[in-house]
Formats: sequence, C-alpha cells, structure tokens
Amino acid sequence: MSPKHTAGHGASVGRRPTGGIRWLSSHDIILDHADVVVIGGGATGIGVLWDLSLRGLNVVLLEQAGLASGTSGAFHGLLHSGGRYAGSDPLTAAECLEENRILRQVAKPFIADTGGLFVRLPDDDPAWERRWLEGCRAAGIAATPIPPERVLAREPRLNRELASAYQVPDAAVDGFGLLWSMLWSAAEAGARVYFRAKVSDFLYDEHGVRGVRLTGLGGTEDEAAAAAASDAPPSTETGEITAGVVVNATGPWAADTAGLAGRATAQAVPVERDQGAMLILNSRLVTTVVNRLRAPSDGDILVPHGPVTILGTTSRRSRGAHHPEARPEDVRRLVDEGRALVPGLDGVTPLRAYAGVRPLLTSQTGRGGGRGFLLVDHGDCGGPRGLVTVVGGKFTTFRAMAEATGDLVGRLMGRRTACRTREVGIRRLTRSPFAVAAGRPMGRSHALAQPLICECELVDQPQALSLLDTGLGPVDLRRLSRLGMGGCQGVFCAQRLAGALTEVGWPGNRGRPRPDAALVAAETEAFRRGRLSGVAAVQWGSQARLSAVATALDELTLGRDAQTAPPSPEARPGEGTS
Amino acid sequence: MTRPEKITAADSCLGCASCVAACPVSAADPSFAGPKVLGPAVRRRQTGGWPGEPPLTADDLDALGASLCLQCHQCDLACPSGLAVSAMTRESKALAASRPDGVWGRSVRRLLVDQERFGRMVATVRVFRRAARRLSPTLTSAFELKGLRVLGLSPSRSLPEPPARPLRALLRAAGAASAERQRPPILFYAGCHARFHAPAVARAAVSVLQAGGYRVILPAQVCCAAPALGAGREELAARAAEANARLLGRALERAGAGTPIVTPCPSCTLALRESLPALVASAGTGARELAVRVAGNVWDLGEFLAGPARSGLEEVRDRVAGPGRSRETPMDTPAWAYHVPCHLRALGVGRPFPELFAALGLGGGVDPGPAADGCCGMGGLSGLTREGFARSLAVGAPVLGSYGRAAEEAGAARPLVLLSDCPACRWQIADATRLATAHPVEFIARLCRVG
Amino acid sequence: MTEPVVPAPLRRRVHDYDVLVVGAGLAGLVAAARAAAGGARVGVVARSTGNTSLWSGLVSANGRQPRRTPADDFFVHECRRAGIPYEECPGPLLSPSGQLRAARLAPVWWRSAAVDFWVGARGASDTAPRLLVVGFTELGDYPAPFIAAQAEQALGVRIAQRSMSLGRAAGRGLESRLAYLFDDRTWFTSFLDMAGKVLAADASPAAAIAFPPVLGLFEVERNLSELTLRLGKPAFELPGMPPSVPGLRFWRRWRHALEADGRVTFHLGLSLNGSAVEGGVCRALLAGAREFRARVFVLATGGVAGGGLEVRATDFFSLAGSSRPEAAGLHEPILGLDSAGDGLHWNTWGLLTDAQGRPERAGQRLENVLVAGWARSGCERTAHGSIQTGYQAGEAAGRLAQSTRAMEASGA
Repeated sequence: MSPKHTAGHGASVGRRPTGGIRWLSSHDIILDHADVVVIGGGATGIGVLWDLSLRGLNVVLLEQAGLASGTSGAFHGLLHSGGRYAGSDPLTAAECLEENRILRQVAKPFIADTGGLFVRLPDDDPAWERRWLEGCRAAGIAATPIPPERVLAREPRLNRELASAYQVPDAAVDGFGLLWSMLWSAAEAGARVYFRAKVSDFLYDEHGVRGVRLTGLGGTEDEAAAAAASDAPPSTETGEITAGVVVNATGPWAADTAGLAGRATAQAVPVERDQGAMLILNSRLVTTVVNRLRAPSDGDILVPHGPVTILGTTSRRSRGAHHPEARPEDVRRLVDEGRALVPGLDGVTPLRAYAGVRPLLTSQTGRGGGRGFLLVDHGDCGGPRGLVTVVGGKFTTFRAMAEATGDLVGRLMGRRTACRTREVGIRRLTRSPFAVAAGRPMGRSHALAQPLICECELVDQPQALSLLDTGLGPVDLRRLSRLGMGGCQGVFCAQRLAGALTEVGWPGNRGRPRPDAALVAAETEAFRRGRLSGVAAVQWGSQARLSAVATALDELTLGRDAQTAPPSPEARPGEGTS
Repeated sequence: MTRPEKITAADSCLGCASCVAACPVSAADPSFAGPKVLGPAVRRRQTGGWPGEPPLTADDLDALGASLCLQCHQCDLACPSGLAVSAMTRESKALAASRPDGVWGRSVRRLLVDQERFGRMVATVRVFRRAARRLSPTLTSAFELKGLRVLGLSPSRSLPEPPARPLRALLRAAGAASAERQRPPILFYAGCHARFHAPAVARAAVSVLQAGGYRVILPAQVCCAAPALGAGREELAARAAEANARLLGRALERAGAGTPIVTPCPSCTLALRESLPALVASAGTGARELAVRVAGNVWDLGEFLAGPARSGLEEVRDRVAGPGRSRETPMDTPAWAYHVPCHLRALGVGRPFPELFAALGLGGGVDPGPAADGCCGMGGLSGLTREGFARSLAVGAPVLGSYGRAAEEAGAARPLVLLSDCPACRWQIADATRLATAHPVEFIARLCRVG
Repeated sequence: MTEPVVPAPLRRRVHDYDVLVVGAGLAGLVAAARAAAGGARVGVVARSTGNTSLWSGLVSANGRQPRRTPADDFFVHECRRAGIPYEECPGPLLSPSGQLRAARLAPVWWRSAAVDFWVGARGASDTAPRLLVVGFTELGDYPAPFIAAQAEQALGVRIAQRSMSLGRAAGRGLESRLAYLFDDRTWFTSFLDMAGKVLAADASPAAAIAFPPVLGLFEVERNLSELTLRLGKPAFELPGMPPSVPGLRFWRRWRHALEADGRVTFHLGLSLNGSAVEGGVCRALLAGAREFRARVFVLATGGVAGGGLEVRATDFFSLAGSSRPEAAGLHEPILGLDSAGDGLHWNTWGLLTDAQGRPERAGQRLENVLVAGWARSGCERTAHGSIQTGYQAGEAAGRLAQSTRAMEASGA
C-alpha cells in the first residue's frame, strides 16, 4: 500500500509534509501505512504516540471523537504525589511519586506547583493516619507534618477543627494543554492524527493483526461519540491503515476494541467502568491541593485549578463508556462531604459539574483497589499477534504506561529503541504548527490583544481565529484557550463564536469543499449545550440565575426553543413560550 | 493584592455585560476592554488560567486599557448582581499603573493626584505670586500657565483664578466660627477644590447652612483620597484616609457623636462614605472603628439640604419672598440646567438639588434631553492632562453636545447656567461648551439672599 | 442677610414617599409611571437597571395575541412621552438566531421588520433575495452570514447577507459602543456614504434591508429613515444579543422622562437589606443606614432571573429530588415572602399573591405591599407580563396610597 495520504492542509507547511491532523467526515476514505497504529486519543493514546514518535517510529493515531473527549477530559486536574494511594496501594503510590517527579521536569509548563495537604478531621479514623504514614514511608513519599495553625494561616477556609496535617508534593496539571502539545509535536515530527475515525475492524495477515479498517464519523464530538456507540455502522465507506503493530489505548472502550478480534481477545482485557462526578467552584477556595486523610471516599479532594477549585469525586459503576452528565445527587454528595473540609461550601458560588468514566482493572474495582495499569500482548495470551492493549492507570502515570507500551512495541517490531520521554521536555505549544494564517500565539506568553471573544476567560479574537483556522472546533478551542469556561458558560458568547467560525469559513478549513452554516450552527449549539448541561447540576446561587436568564434569552430573544430545547415534560402554567 | 472577599464577589458575575452597556468609556473608546473584563473577569483570572500559565501582568492590563477607567461607578449601578465592579476595576487600574509610562504625563498626574501637596504648593507660591503680580501680572500668569503646561496640563484647559485668600480666612470673615453656641453643629468638609481653588462654593454652602440654622465648624481635613483612588495609587489613598479618619473622628468627638459631616462635593462624599473604612482596614481596629463612625456621619450637601435642612430653608425662602408671595410663585432666575454628577448617582440619594429647587419654587429649569443624562467625561482629574483632554471630550460627547444644543435653544437673551455639584463636571462643561457654571448651592444662596 | 431659623432636630437618613417601587426593570418602571400618573409621590429603589439590558426590546406575548389592554395603552402613551414610540407590531420578526419571534408591541422603527412585510413584498421575484441582512465586522455578536443562513432555513425564502466594516473609528466592540457611534452626526454621514457604496449592489434585488440593533442610542429613527432614503429600500433593525441597545434605549429614555419633571425619584445602586413590618403592614424598607418609608410598596424585583428570588443549594437539591424536601419555597431576600413555582423551571417561580397582587409572609398577608413583574407568581414570563402586572400594581398602589393619605388626614 502506498504511504501517500492526505493530512490536512497543514501538510504543505509543516516541516515534515507527512504529519498532520484531520477530522474525518463520513465520506472520507483514508488509506495510510505506519509502523504503529494507536487507537484512542486520550492521555494513554497520546502518551504512546509521543513515546513512539520520540523513538523515531512512524505512527498514526485514530480517535473516534476528539482529543481527550473521554476519561482524560473529565479528570480532576490533579498530578498525584501518590499520597492518595499510600494507604491502599503503596505500589501505585510509588509509581505516582516517580511519575510526579519526572513530569515536573519534562512537563513543567503545564504544572502549577501548588503542593498538597492531607488533613485529618476529628471524626476521621486515626488508625488510617498511621496506616497512611506507613504507606507513605514504603512508597518514599515525604509526608511532612505541619501544625494545624500553620495550615489554617495558609488556607483560612479549611475546617478549623482539623486534627493533623501533612504536606505532600501534589500539583495541579493542565491536561488539555499537555495533550495538545504532545499531539502537535508528534504530528510535526510526522505522525498522522485522524479524529472522528472509528475503527470498525482489524486487518490480518498470516502473522496476525496488520492494521485497522476505519470509518469517518463526521459531526460534532458528541455526535461522533454517539455514532461510535451505536450498533449501526454510520457509513459504508471505509479506509484502511496498515501497520506492524496496533496499540489499543481506548480506556473504557478497551474491551470493545479488543473484542473486534473476538470474544477471547476481549476477555484478556478485564476492564470495568466506574464513573465519578466532580464539582467546580468558581473561585480559588484553597491555594494548595487538599486531600482528606481518610480511606479514599467521596468529596475528599480539592484541587485549585487556575481560577477555579475542583472538588472530587464520587464513584459508581457505569454502564456506558462515554462521559455521562453529572447528576444533582452526585453533586449533593460532593457538597455534603466537601462541607467537612470547607465549612460553608454550599454558600460558595458553583460553576458547573461534570463526570468521567474511569477504566478500572477488574481485579482492582472500587476505591479499595489500586490504580495500576495493565499491558496485554494479545499474541502472548491467545489473541492475534501484533495487537497490544494498554489500559487502567491514571493521568499521572500516563508516561509510564506509554514507556512500557513503547518497549513492548519495540520488541514486537524487532527494533532496538530507547524511551526518551524521561528526558525530552514538552514545550507548551502556543499555536498549532499547522496554522496557515499568521495568528497570534496561544497562551500567555504575550500580552493580551483586543478584542476579546471570551470576556470571562480573556481569550482574544486573533488567538481564537488562528486556532479555529487550523480546523479545531469550538470544543477543542475551549479546551486550549478556556473559551466559555468562565462565569457565563457560553450563554453570552456562543453567538459570537458562531460568527468567528463563519469568519474562518469553518469547516472549509477541515478540507471540506465550502463553509457550511448548518454545521457552524450545530457546532455552536453543541458547544453551548455542553456548557449548560454542566450548569444544570449546580443550579444554586448565581448559576440558578444564569440558567433562568439563559432560558429566557432562548425563549424570548433567540427563539431557540423549537429547535434545541431539551424535551420538556409538558407546558407549564405561567411560562412564556412566545 | 488579592483580597478573598473581592474574589468571592467576582465569582457571581454572570457575564451579561450590563456594566459595559452603562460604561461611558466603553461607549467612546474601543481600546478600553470594559468593566466586565477589567473588573470581575480580571479579578477571577488574577492567579492565571490553566495550571502552569503565568498570571496576568501589568502589560496585559495595559493592553486591555485598564488605565482608561474613570471610576465613575456607573457599572456598579448597572450590575444586576449588585457587584462592586468599579472597586474591582480600580485594582486592575492600580496594577496597570505600576508600569512605567511617560515622564510628563506621569509628573502632572502625580502632582494633581496628591491634592494635599499640590494645595500646599499653591499656598506657598501664593505669597511670591502676589508680589510678582504686582510687578508684572501678564508675565506672571503666563509663567504660571507655562509651568503647569510643561507638567502636562492640557493647553485646552482653562485654569481657575487662584483665590486671593484661603478658605479659612474667607469663612472667618463670613463669621463661620463665631456662630451661636446653642445651634446644632455641622462639620463642614469642604473638599480640595473648595479649599484650594474655589472657596466661593464653600462660602455659599456655609452661608446656606448657617441660614438654615446650623453652627458650621470647619474641622482640620485632608484630601478625601478620591483622586488617588482614581489613579490607582492605593498607598497614597490609604494615607489620606487614615488622616481623615483621625482628624474627622476627633472633630466628631468634640462636636458630638451624631454631628453630620457635610460636603459639597459628591466625589468626596462617595470616597468618605464608601471607601474610607476599607482603606484604613490595615491600620488596626481602632482606626477602622473611627473610620466607620466618620463614614456613617457623612452627608452630601444636597442630601442634607433637601433632607433635614429642608424645612428651615423653606422658612428662609418664605421670609425672603416677602409677605403675600406664596411658595408656588416662581422666583426670577436665569435659565438653568442641572447636571447629575456620576458620583451623586452612585450615592443613591436621587437628585436632591432639583428636588429642593422644586420645594423652594425655583423656576427656570431647562431639560437638555436624555442624552445629557450621563458622564461628562472629565473623570475627576484625568481629563486635565494633555492626553486625557481629547479622550474626555469623546467620552462626554453626548452630554456636552446636549448642553451645547440646550444653550443654543436658550438663546443669548437668557443665557443658560449649568448647575452641578461636582467641580470636575463644571470644569469640563465650562471648557467644552463655554456655558457659565455654578454649584447649585450658590443658587440657593442667592435665592435665600445669603452669603 | 436674613435671620437664621432654628432647624428641626437632625433626623436619620429617611426618604418618604407615597409609593416606593423596588426594582427598576420593565415592571418597576411601568409601576412607577402608573403610580405617578395617579398623583402619588413615587420613589424607585433599585440595585440596577434590572434585566432591561438583556431584553430584546420586543413586547412579546404568550403565543396568542390577546386584545389590547389599558396597560398596553398606558405603555404606548408613556413611551411616546419618553420619546421612544412603541406601536402594535404587524407580524413576527426574525430573531438573532434566524427564528421567528411574535411581538405585540415594538418600536415604530421595527414596523417594516415584520416578516410578512418583506416576504410578501410585491414585485419580488422568486429567485431574488427578499431580505438583505447586513452585519458589521466590528460586531462579533451579530454574524450576518450565520443569521441569514439560519433565517433562510427557517423561512424557505432567499436571504442575502453582507458584512461591512465600519472603518477604523469604530474599533471592535459590543452593541452599546456602536450605538454611541451611530449617534455621532458627522460619523453617521460618512457611514451613509459608505453604506451607499458597499450595499448598493446587494440592496437592489432585495425587498428590505436589516441591520443589527445598534443604529444609535438616541438617533435611531432619524438614522433609519436616512438609510431608507439612501438605499431606496425599507431599512430596519432586527433584535440582537445582550447587552441590548433597544433595552438600553428604553431604559435611558424612561428614566429620564420620569425623573426630569420630578415625577419619580430614583435611588439606584442600593441593595435593600431589611424591613420594618408591623401587623401585616410594611412601614419601611432599609438599605444600610438609609430608610425608605412609604404608604405602599411595590416589589418589582424580578424572579430568579432578575435576582428577586434566590435559589440556595438546599433548595436546588430538594427540588432536584436528590435530598428530602426541606424548603417550601425560594428565598425572597427583602421581606422573606412566600413563593411558589414548578421545580427546576426557575422562570415559573414567583411570589404568591392574592388577586390584587398582595404577597404573604409565613401565611400572613401584607396589606400595603404589591408585587409586579416576574417576581409575581402567575405573571406571564414575557415583557407583556411585566407591563401588565406593573400597570396593575402601579394603579392599585396609587389608589391605596391615596386612601391611606385620606385616612391619615382624617385621623389627624
């Protein structure tokens, strides 16, 4: 098969014309060849892509929806010190600590060194504290005791009754920026990335798996995820990518993906789905990551993350793999528990809530278990050769997972390769390397320019346009620039975003023939609805007001009710529909 | 500089931009990012965006036009959530002000912002100047003008004629200190403008208050800190606030705890009433208690005259009007229009002087239309500088245009007099429209034939 | 010099009115105007301009077009007096997302914006676009290509669009900034020339031309008629996104008209934080050290959207069914009045009142308090609802104040 492929319009500009990013429609037929195909565009998949690229391999990454649209897009933004697992799983704890140290070096531009605290409240079991301290010692975590009064001076909002406190090297991490930067860097080095690309089958030869068959899904990220989950194939048009090794890094979908090679293969991937909800409070309640010193449970981590604080998490068995919406009862649970850490938490202005699905290894189900990862060489356990699954783990350990996977892939391909992810620093890419227009750099390396497209998160228009111009959609733009993550949650700026998409001729720049107003409308609406669905679970204080204003704006000014309002049970007295 | 209570306030901003719609600077100047951005959004984003990204810098805030905010407080009145938007914007202003800028602009701003020093300077110079004027009046005033221009004052600005005698001497001559002991006392906070540049307003105010039956005391006082706050110089503001809390607090102790502190300038009222306690917060609880007591006793002159002093003034007016003339009969007055200063709006006291005029039967008012109902653009002292002048005219264009048209309509036969409580508004409107201006209390003084 | 009089002893900061209206949104303004029309001394205390800057400026109705009411007549009359003439709208208009919105009343300059007017324009060919939607590149909130495409889809007729730049003087900005620019006579003259050139080709086949609602805060009527003259086609504005210039126009003019002749005194920027109630009668409302006394109080504080009702975390959780029901209603922050509504549909929530609009507190009725606008349960959640209930409350308050005054006089 010819290695010729189309790789987005950036291909003509990039330093290596072979690399690039494409969003597939249902009409696209992709024929490509690579050393390795990685399936899954989350932290694991992109980590593997980064690792393999640094080893000099020719890699294609396939993702059914968008970057970090699954588990990695719904974690709590915490770079673990390992303290969280010290009491239950010292091995994972040690692994977290080591990765924490490495990432602080190589991913420095994405990490805020907030430090972490473990605080025990009077009602929490003192026996757990002893067990935890032993675990820390075993894992090598330097848990430094701090007198409560010093903790309270630093974190005046914390419960003043706290019994004991320890400092650990937790930190806050920008997952989206880190993943995009790794993806861009890999693509710049020649990797091809296809979004909205669902793997429908594996290709085989006499030795085993020799690539994948894929279908373009098109649509918005959520539409693509829904299409991928449905049984009916969205399109008969399929493409093929041949490769020496296929890596399955699809997280909560890992068993399904492996199952394309048969039930037996799927059984080698013992993964279960566990969903957790998180609550975002619209201010920095704490400056340090605060963990409650007790057996891991609901609502016991507070992560100061940029301008907000993330309170996590809950744990519940999940049937689906796509991230669900947070439910009011999950939020209530978080608030009830969070109040113990920060009294008066229910009076603090919330922003939104979200939920993610963790792929847990079956042997480790629930919080009592550990959070290690599993690397399966299917050829070694009754499945086809050339297929590797990596699953489990957590955001903090994604690099270690990628390293192990890379080593295995190297062995399978019979090449001597060395992992370089421990040394090579990841630059915070301030713009897509494939930007055609000379846009302004992303991020905060330069002073802001006017006008602002997002006035809550201070995203300027030139910056937004230059990103959209490389084919990114509104949701990707949000994850990179924080657009729509502030107080208004897209209510007042979605229309402006539609204008910006129109201005760049979107999605004409994704290789489509011409701008499409219907697609712009669909993307904008998906963006807006995505934002408001997160507000739906936290409708108190100013967020109740925001919901009421958004509804009134929709019904009275925009007339969007007929088009997009979620199905309402029945007409309600006194509510205007005109 | 992050204060937790401010962050808590910023987090309930819905982002509806009602404040932007109300902001006169946003309306006139596209390089100003507006109160929504420079207030709540900047406050919320102070600590940075994504983890690892640097926090906002002075350069960022400058790029957003933070220094252009006039601190007119109209955003506060527009916010459906009741947030103190202007206080948050002031912090952005202070951060932007921390970067170096032009030497000349800086020097004149520094000078004007520190009204105490400026006032002392004027007083010291006065002695020499009087002597110099005797020698060569033209040369002296040309020289003085030149001096101020060199410091950055706009050449298009008129300058107030320096008063021959300081305020205290004027008031002594008017018998302020010798009033009868049994009358209820009032502490008169004159404000820098009246103290240093226009004692006539203070004199009229004192006369009217005396005519209304009060004993007027002029306590030791310093600048209200509004100019320093407006320029983002919090330390200077805090120093002034501490001094005022001490001086006025002591005066209150002597005169009696409930004694009103009355000031003819709405900006002084606003600064003393709303900012004083917050500014002295770091000076300890004693100072703060004193400041709270002082702030609680501050009255706007109009508010006081239209409120507690109203019936007294009505009696005076009846007596002046003479027997047989009812209160409903309008007095002979020139045509006048009343301009509401932004800071008076911010006080939430309504429009006391027009109310009082109506109560006293003062006719002749002219309605310059809804467009006049806004900010004149002066922004305290920012319209005085070379670079600020043109901007102030742009911001004030709808208001100034309305008064210009009203003056034309009034005609030469009955020239329009513009009344406003705020010296900066009067200055701006006079310079832009050539209208005669006065403090409304000067009108009342004339009406009651006092002062 | 006259002899000084001895003043009355110093009082607290007290304001005293016949009718005190709380809230300066649409309902509050209408209630204040109506009460003043009845001869009452009226004060308005408000935190801000309510949600008028979020209001499109259209007086919409609840699906039907009920008969014209006295409230409509009063509103139209007062609007004319304030210099912002409203009249009945002959048909639905296009929304900023290209959908159809029905309206009862709209400013006169929206007369020809009614869809029927230009869709059914005589002489229009099937292939020629009926409407030209003009956007300004400086105004990100009003993307003409997007709006035109949406409208085309909704209406099934051809709609052209053109984005033009307003030139360097404009800069980028929100609606309010551009409205200010359009008030500038000199600038507008140059804009007319520019529009004549840029839009001529697109305008000639179209039946009408739509602009974003930013054509002046005070000069919109003049500007539109000059544009109509220059382009040879009816020019009008369409509703836009917040902050809404039509809402701003309305509010600025109404406040001015009510304030300039001393009919109503406005106290803005104040949050009420206390009350004095004795035996079912409200004596005063407090804002810090300030006391507002009145014979009658009108609460036009808005519903949840306006901030007149607050949703606490416990309210939300119990209404969402995730905890045991604790709260019987939402929190009304001034008087602690009883409220009712339908679950999480916040815009159904309002204060419980009797037929006259008098609310209750812990089951006890307050005799001299009336509720208007979205703060009132059962008020239609439209501008029409605000006008209707504002009028009712203003009228009743005026009457009640008068009778109270008469009683006071006879008692004295």
